[in-house]
Amino acid sequence: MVSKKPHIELVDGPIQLEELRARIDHPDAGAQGWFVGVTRRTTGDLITQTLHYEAHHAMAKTELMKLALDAMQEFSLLRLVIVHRLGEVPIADASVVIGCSTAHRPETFAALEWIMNRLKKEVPIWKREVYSDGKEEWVHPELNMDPSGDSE
Amino acid sequence: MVIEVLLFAAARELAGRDVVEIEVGGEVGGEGSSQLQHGKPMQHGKPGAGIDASCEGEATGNDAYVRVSCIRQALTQQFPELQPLLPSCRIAVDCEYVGPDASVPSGAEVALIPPVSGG
Repeated sequence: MVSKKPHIELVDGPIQLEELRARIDHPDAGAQGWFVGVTRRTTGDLITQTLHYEAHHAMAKTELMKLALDAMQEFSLLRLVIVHRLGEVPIADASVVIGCSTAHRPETFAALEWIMNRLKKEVPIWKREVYSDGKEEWVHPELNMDPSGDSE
Repeated sequence: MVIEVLLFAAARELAGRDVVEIEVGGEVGGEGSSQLQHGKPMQHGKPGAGIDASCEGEATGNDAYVRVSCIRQALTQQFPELQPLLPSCRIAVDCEYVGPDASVPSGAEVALIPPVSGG
């Protein structure tokens, strides 16, 4: 079972899920899983018009690669793809896509959740909500500026 | 020494720019790169526990290091508008998160990282 280096990408336009599909193919895989985080319109009573994402580019790629390599090891992943979109992301579009393949399904299910949880804690990417009433705010979870605490 | 600090998200908006220059005192040593490897070159007080007098020292030379805690202190003093956000921010040096006791060589890329919200 030869695993390749994870595929890490930060993109400025729509994430092309179909083009990523084959990247997690592996003859020894019995499970493939995808997680697609999409931008949600509602946060409590607030209606979001659009979202903007910004990153410390070089560091975000470094942190994504670090967590990807940890995940490969921890969950015996055969293939792993992580793509995060930056800039404006309209409602219902994908802001993040994670795909992985493993020999059996429990590792795929566990890995997707573990990767998302760590991404949301460690990777220097920030989102700014633009609400329908014109108000805008950066989401900095530990400052309780995000009423839901979770927006993917 | 003068340190440039990259700002992001709400920190960038509070300061009105994406990079600030701060004058940081309390330089430690000058004996080359071994300083950074030690991780904890000096023991001192908790971060955020008031003014750290050891950050007030004179510059000692060109090849010096400053502690991360002194960078934090200088940011608080020289850019008070960042104060509401600073306690919850992490500091990264050359794309790595570092603790308060880490030494930062002149010329390193320093970034102030507010709580992240990717995904």
